[in-house]
Amino acid sequence: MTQHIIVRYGEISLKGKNRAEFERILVRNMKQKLAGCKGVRIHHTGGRMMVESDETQVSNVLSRLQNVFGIVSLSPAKVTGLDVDQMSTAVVDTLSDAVKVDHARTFKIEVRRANKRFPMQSLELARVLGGRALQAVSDITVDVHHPDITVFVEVRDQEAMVYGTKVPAVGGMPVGSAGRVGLLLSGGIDSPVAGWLAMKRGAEVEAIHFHSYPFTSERALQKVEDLAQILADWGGRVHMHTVHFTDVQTEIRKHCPDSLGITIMRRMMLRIAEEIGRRRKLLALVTGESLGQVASQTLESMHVINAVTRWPVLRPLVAEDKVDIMRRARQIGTYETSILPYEDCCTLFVPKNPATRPKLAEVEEAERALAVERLVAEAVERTEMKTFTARNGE
Amino acid sequence: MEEIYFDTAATTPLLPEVRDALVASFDVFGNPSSLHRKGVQAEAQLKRAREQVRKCLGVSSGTLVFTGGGTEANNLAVFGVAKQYRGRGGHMVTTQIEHPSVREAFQALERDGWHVTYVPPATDGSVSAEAVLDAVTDDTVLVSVMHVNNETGAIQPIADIGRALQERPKVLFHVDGIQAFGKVPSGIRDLGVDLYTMSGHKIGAPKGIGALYLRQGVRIAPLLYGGGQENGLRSGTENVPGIIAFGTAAEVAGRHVEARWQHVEQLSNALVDGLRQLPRCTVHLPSPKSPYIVSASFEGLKGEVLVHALEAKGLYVSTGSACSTRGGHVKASHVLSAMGLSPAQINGTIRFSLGPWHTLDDVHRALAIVESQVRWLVDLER
Repeated sequence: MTQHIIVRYGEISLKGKNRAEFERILVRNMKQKLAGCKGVRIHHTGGRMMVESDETQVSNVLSRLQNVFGIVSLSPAKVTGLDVDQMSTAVVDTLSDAVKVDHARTFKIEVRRANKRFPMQSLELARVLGGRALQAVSDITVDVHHPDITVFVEVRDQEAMVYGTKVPAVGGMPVGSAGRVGLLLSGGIDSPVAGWLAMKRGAEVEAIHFHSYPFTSERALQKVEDLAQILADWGGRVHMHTVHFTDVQTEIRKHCPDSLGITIMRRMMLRIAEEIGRRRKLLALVTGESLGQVASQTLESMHVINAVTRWPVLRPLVAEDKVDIMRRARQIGTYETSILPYEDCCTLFVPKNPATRPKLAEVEEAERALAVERLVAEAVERTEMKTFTARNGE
Repeated sequence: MEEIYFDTAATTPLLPEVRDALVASFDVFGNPSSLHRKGVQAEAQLKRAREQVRKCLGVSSGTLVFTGGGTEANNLAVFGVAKQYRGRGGHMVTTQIEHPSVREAFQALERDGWHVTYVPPATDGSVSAEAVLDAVTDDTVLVSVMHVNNETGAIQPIADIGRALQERPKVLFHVDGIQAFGKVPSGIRDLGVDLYTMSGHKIGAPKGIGALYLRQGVRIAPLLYGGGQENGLRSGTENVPGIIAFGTAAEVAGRHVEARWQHVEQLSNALVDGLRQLPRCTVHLPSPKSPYIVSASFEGLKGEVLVHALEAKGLYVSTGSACSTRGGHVKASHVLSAMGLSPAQINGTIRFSLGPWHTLDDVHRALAIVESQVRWLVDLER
């Protein structure tokens, strides 16, 4: 039997003239996510989206769509003829499920009658269906103010639709609706979460990773690639640029004061990321920085680091507490990979006394010992790109 | 870039002879337990492999139990004795420098109420026979001492311990010979060894095959129960291809074991001489020592970084011991700590392990790589 799933995408329906474009992207992303599910069709008419799927596929389709950015909630719906008996059966089934699965004790029925030729009025139909439901389903009573479950009945021109549960989905905006950004991706906990949040706001993410072999191992790189893959599972596709950063780090080490090493390293990373961004036509950079978390994330440090670029540097985690970032990392599935202990380039070369309040003038002075432009150009030249596409639960 | 693989103590590539034998073995698909001809053919191959391994060990009698690798053989020895002789006493003796597959087995027995004495090594990484024998009491059921240490190459005084223990017929003597088998020329005849562990992939066979030798008359309890294969000590249909490969590798190893030892000793001496010229380098030279393993510390450098820096130039070595790289965390080597090295030395320790196919030219090229990379890393410090 065919099942229908109502797709709600709240936020994007507010955006006047861009709406058609957003919906087009959302449908594209949904199709991508549902690739391989047999007999699934997406209907998009008049500001509502409906997915038609074989009964056996419903839970699979639901769980996939829950992870599509832009979708706010989903409801499996029953489609019936324009006949009170059929509607009543669907209402009773929906309520029985709610009692069994969600332990609902109270309900109400809300009827929307788009089809004004239907002989019964909304309130009347609701009363009839509610009365039958009370007879058929035990252990449940009516509560019109605070029901455990609301069963919606939509009477339309050709058919009626009955649905109850709302399955929450991830929300946000469809990936690709906000342009492309470069995510500075390390192997840590924060940057994958920052990238995920950027995706959630519709950005298409390209990851930029700084690899310092032999100071970090191939396993460390593999770990970051695994993280890029997880992000791709969410966003559909992630290009990852691996920057060979060893020469830059050794030059900093040789020529700059120990205490400014991290600050200068971060400045070099931003310069290189901006150049990659320029070549890839990205519009902003994204980092996992959170204010005050570590020495390089004081406001003074951010000020000095940020001074090398005029590009917007988005920091979605700037006001988040570590525990919240960790919780989010667990939710999105990056945490277990992030805590693997391979060192990334930030944990080596760590000076004994990093400057927590560097001054722009002293950092600029220290950098005069570096051939900044040449180092950036060479690093960009040696950068390799790899593309990850969503695995869709395969 | 021609690669130099100096990590044979971790694992070895397949020997060409073994590869051929392995490919041919896939046609001998019978179950050795089958009554029909296919079974008989497979069984004959097992018999041949047992002969090959015995020959390499230098013994003509005794039982060989093929296992799923060295770890299983070590576990079988320790737990098999513990189960069989629970009533005889409650004490065992081993050393502080054993491989985790022995040490962890003893620690599990301790949790079951056994008393275990862990004999510490001298600062050169060897335990003395006297120290081991002094630890033996009337309550002792098993003494387990490794033959060649996997981190330092130190050869333990197996013969002295084994012969002395012959006066105590109720004490069984187990030797973990994983880094010695097919390399140390003497074999184990007349050493007084009751149980001896071997592993295939350290001598050019594939991973997943090992063996435990039991001197004639030694009885232990099995870990696996079932069809009663391997004299009832390792139930489960035999890994026929693995066993054939292991037998072949043992035969190859045993063929010129003396000449190979001398060849590798020459390489090892050149390597040690070269390393000693390098800044911050201390080479650990227990005596006697297997030339197949050379351990050196570069004080103040990180072993892990050094490994990757050498790898970048095509030279493969490992930190103290590959078995300590668990989930990326390099745990401070218990062997090197027991030898009294400082943490800065332990962190900077790498292990070179050689194979008989290596040449003096390989050693010289390796030394050049080590020198340039160590100087580069030292230069980055201030």
